[in-house]
Amino acid sequence: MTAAFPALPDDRRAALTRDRWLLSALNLYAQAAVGLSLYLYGSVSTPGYLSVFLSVPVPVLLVLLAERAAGMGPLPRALCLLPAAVCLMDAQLAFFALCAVLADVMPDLNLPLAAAAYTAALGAGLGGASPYALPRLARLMVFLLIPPALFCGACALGHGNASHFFPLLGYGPESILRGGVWMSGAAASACCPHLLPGSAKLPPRAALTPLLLALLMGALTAAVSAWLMPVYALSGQRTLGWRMLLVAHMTPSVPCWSLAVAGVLMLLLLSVCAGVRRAAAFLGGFFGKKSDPGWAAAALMLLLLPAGALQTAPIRDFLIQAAPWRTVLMAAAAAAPCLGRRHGQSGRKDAA
Amino acid sequence: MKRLLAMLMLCALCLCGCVSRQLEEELLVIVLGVDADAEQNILLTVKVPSSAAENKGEAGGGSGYLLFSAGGHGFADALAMLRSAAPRQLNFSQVREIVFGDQAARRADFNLLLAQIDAIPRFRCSAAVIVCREEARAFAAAQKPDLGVRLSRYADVTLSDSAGKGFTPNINLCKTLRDLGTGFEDPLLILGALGNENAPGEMNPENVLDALPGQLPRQGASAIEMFGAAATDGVCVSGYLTGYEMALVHLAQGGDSALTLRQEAGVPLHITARAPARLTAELQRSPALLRMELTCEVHYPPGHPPDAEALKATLEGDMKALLARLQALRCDGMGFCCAAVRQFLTVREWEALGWREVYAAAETEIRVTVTCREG
Amino acid sequence: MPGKTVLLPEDYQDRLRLLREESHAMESEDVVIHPFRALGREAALLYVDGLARGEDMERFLLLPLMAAPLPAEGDSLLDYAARSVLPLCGLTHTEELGQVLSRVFSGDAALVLCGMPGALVADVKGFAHRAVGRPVNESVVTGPHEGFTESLRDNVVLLRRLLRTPDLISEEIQVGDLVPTRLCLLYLKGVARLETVSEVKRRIRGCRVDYVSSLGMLEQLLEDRPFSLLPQAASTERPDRAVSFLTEGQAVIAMENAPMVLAMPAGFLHLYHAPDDTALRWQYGTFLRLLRLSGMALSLLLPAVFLSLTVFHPEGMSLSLLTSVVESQSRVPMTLFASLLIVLLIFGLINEAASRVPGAMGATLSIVGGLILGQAVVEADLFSPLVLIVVALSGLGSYTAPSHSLTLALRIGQLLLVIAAGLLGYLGVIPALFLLMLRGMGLTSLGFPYFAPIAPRRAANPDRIARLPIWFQRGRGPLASPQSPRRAWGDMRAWSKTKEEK
Repeated sequence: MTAAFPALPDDRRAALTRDRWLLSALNLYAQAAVGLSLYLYGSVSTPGYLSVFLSVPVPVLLVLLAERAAGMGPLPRALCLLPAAVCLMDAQLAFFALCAVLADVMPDLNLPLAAAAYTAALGAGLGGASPYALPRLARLMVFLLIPPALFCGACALGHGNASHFFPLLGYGPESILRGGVWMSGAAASACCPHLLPGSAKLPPRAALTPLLLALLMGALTAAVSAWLMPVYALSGQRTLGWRMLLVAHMTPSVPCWSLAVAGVLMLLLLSVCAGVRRAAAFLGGFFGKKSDPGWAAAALMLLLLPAGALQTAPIRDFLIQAAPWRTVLMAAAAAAPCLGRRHGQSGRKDAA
Repeated sequence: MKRLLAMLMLCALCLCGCVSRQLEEELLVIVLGVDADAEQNILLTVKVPSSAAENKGEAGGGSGYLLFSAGGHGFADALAMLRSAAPRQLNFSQVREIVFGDQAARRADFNLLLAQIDAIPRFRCSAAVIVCREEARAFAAAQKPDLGVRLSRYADVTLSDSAGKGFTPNINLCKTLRDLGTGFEDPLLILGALGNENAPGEMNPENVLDALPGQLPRQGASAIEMFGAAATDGVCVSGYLTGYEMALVHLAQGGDSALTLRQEAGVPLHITARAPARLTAELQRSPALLRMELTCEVHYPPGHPPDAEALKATLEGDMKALLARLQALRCDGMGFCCAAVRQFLTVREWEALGWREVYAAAETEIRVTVTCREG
Repeated sequence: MPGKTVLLPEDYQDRLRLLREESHAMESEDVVIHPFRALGREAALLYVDGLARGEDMERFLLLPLMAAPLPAEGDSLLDYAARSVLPLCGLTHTEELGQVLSRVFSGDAALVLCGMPGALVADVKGFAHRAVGRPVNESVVTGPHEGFTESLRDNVVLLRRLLRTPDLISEEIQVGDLVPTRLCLLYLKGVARLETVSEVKRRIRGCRVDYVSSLGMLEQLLEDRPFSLLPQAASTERPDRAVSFLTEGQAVIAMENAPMVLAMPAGFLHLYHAPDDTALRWQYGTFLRLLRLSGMALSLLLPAVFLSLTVFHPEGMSLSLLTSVVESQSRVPMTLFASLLIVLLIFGLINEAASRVPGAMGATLSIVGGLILGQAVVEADLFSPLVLIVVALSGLGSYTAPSHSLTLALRIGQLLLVIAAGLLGYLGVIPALFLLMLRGMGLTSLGFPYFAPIAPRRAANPDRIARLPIWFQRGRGPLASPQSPRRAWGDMRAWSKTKEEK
């Protein structure tokens, strides 16, 4: 199917690229939400929104770097492993959070079996899906997720207090900085559309606007959580799943609960699928294939299963430790072609 | 490949083991009662609708509810005993009230009790938290829906009505867990008691609410009384506030409902606050100074204008007394902590202050501005 | 039968023999070969009694030929007969056996004349067919009340009456190797994309089947993804709706013996829009569309969400409603999941029976469905009344879909979601819905994205989910040719800019 990419007419290629950026934006928001619940609330607490703002330069730099790298041609095969690892890491974090939400919504659920069912279902769904499907679904999701998000935010307004934002720096500026560095990992895969085959060149604003809006939504989410919970309570002992559904737990509104659960699940499912599909595409690039076979995405889904099903503390700690390295990997993937070209040019100059 | 995955998915789904769940095979708990005795034993009580009530539609007098109790050395033991005593699986997703007996509420591990309750799978975290002056079991047993309304609806309506009128605080489990020991204000819990038929027949002529629940002359149809508040000190319940004191708190928080005071001739005055009181904390001086500025509007009946200065003095005096009481109970129910914490940038700096001690020793200054209107 | 073209022999007797054999005139009593003499030589008329109108044959074929003088020496017999003798418009000359037989068995008459090569085929169709009447399945409140019939010619005429432009092209194609069925491919030249038209023709010509019995069968042979739940073509009984498809750049296929036409490519919005949306004021049209969308969403989600909340997630439901559910369900001998599935099945049975039942027994079905299945089962505590209400509401919601195919797709999707809900509650419904949407997003119709212009976003009229005012709809939509992107230039309500003359 993707063999048709080189033959796409310009309007279809442009539409596909715009949808890919939307998918990146939604994935970024999902990763930010997971990052907030997994790490930031516990370590940074109420000033988590500041950490999100601090991470803004990272996707901007990566997008510009990746745009330059894309202008030099397709990504070299060896380098394809780096973004593949980043996307797979995104998917793993999202799947881990998804399983945590499952356990929170239905505590008596047989989690390993449910996780296996999800893996199988998503694998089967991705295996037969067209490469256009996920980006288009992201566009549809924007319409489906924004009203429930606004509704839940409105419900939350009556149950919080502005004083919960204080002390403004929480556990100190070091923790906020550390949080910002950690959160930059969430934005690492945002520049993928530049590196994926079949994308058109768009003006930087068209790429960056959805990403920055997604980060703004992430910061708003952190702010709403801070509105609802003061610093000690937000950093207290709560499960990942509870934190992902914090608004639902803290607002006694029956429709808010349903919408929050549905919205969070949809977002995480999209993030898992996006991560896996992109990882499969990059792995395909590594093996010299122009298209990503669906079975590769289905196989990669199986890799996510153990961590999601087991939900142990060592796994969680490992994910927390590994998450920020996504920025490094993606920066290396985007910068290497630029550096290589520069080195080649200087080598020619020297030879001359 | 797709077929294999689809088969795996189907098998996995079928093995998830949730197919045979039936709601009518569970007991929906409406009220959860927690009592404790001197030997640290816990007694848990649940009130559930019975199947007879389901047939009758829960009408008329609440006879369609069952009460189960079980005890244990700790909460976990008691819960396990309760589950084994109940004829069906207990479902806590629709709990309306958590009632703590006086002794249970004053335990040092009160916060832990709340956390353990919250940890019950699918416990409804918006359940109201009530502290009862007697035993929670008796309180739960005495609660009956009136006018043929279901107990759950009765509880919802009564609690929201009394909170709206300022008789009780608007508090639930998640807010309590959030604020007790971790927040910047100490939560005030709902105070209730069984009606006492031998209650003194005389009331405070100036304010009938200047009493605790259980002290009003028995004239109502309901067997229980809920007004006032239970003050907490960051660990557990430290004392009680009367209905009038709670109404003052409500006034200071800018609540919608009016506080009613009587003048000398028994003429009622309805006092409302235009906005929440402005709270400030001057922490540079020692002892610290807690200042409250409140603007009130007083509505008086035609032809009976009040003495504004005297009223102002009354309100300032009563507020000051309330604050002193709260300080004595080590409960920051007004929320001065919220004003104080804004002066700090980091948690470390805040913790270095030692707020509880500063609060308990602080001086207070109350300024009330009164505007009188006829009608 | 596919294969080589057979030409009619030059010799008159051989020609006649071949025609008699291939048309099975000796076995079929209604296939008639009528010999006569005309223009001083032997002639024969081949026709099917009942398909060809006898009166027209006598008046416009036999009588003129028999009464005509002999042609002048050296004159071509074919020219003389076709141009000077026979007063008919629809005369064609052919020497191919297959064409002759195909036309004769469509209702024409073939004239074979000694000395004239091939045969002259005259359009004298006169078979019985339904008159143009109201559409049976697509009635509207405002708008025309004419519907297509089984006659291909009448259907094309209905479209020509509405689109009086020479740019409306109707190309005849035949499909079916053993028994060819006539199709007419219609499109607006300059509006429809060339790729669309050529792709439709390619697909029709690429169908290898002996006989196409219905338009639905043709649809299944032409669609992109036959295993998808969603239909990928729009069928309609209404000429006005077919015209709206044509003006948007779609190709419309009419078929002999089919009282509807097929429009391709077709996306979700083409199935979601109702015929009279445009005829109503934009406020009413938008309101009805939103109502329709709510109905479709209700149909898809209500039973699954109801099951999820009551069985798996009671914390997501108000206690008053939950208690009503428990009270009603406590007397029922089966699980909520089982009763929901059974009631859905019963509802499907009633629907199916209603479409098959003879008219005289319609009242009986109402009694069976309403009283017995509705009231009696509730009084017997076999099913909870809430379950019946939920299924009835969701059924009503599915019928708000203007397309019958979409209604059926919604009902199948509803069933899948109910099964997912019965297994895992919300945690089954949400991923199932996600996967259904994922599959839907990858769907195409003739290569055109199914959910465009919503996803992917394409330039289109503000006539998608809501129906904005008609004067904003100046463009044609993403299906139209780039050479004709607009329907109107400037302000459609230009009069509003000029002052009223006094």
